[in-house]
Amino acid sequence: MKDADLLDIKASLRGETEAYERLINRYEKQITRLMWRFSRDHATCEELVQDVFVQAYFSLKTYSGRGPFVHWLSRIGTRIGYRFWKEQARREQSVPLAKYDGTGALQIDSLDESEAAEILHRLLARLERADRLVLTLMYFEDYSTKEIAERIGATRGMVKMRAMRARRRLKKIAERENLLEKLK
Amino acid sequence: MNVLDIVTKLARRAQKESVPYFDVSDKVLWKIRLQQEEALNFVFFDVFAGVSALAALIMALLSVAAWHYMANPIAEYFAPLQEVPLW
Repeated sequence: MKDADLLDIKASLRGETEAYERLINRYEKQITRLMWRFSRDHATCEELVQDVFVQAYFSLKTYSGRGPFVHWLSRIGTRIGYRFWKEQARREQSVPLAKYDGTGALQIDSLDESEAAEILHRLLARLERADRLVLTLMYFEDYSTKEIAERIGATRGMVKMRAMRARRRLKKIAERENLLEKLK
Repeated sequence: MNVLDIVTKLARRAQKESVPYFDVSDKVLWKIRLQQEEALNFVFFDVFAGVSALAALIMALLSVAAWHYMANPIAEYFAPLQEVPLW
């Protein structure tokens, strides 16, 4: 762990807000990147990032300092993002891939990065929440099964099993959506 | 090409996506202050509620005798006299 992090965490625990501000500034980009995988809406994503740092502040005492601080933050972020999906499902706000018109027989290589991310995001949104979480971290963040297990608090075996089943389900969905015809 | 290969290719492109940047520090610190103030208000409310409950309990104990009298005001006239040693 960075010494600067440790000093700022100790200072934050003493109530020095400047120290916590430094921690926020240091990691907000990484956390924004993670939360963007949970919501691609600017306002919602910003709200989620704020929630991560607020919750982290009030849980700061529980940070053991064993792993990097950013890992601890992303664990909180993953939990908040997952909860957000749960609430979103209750409001039934996910948009099916069929509504996305920009996929008509496109070359993947010619696709804009954010367009590719949008398609993948919508495709994964069709999955069950737990499957979606594992594949989101795997595909978007390029996490290994070990890293995912650490983030979500599961065993590596469970993550591997979940990822295998999720990929099988994703394949079925992608075939149903004629992804092969839409993208080449 | 397998449909999952397409997904993997999409993922590789998606990883390079530039993500929006938000400066959240001011809002986060404001939210933290707000929650701390709320927590303080709760503590004050809890203390006030505790003191009120204690006062009510004391009053209840003091009023037990009065209650007995109200329930049966002439009981004292029929109750056997207590023997009081005069010396």
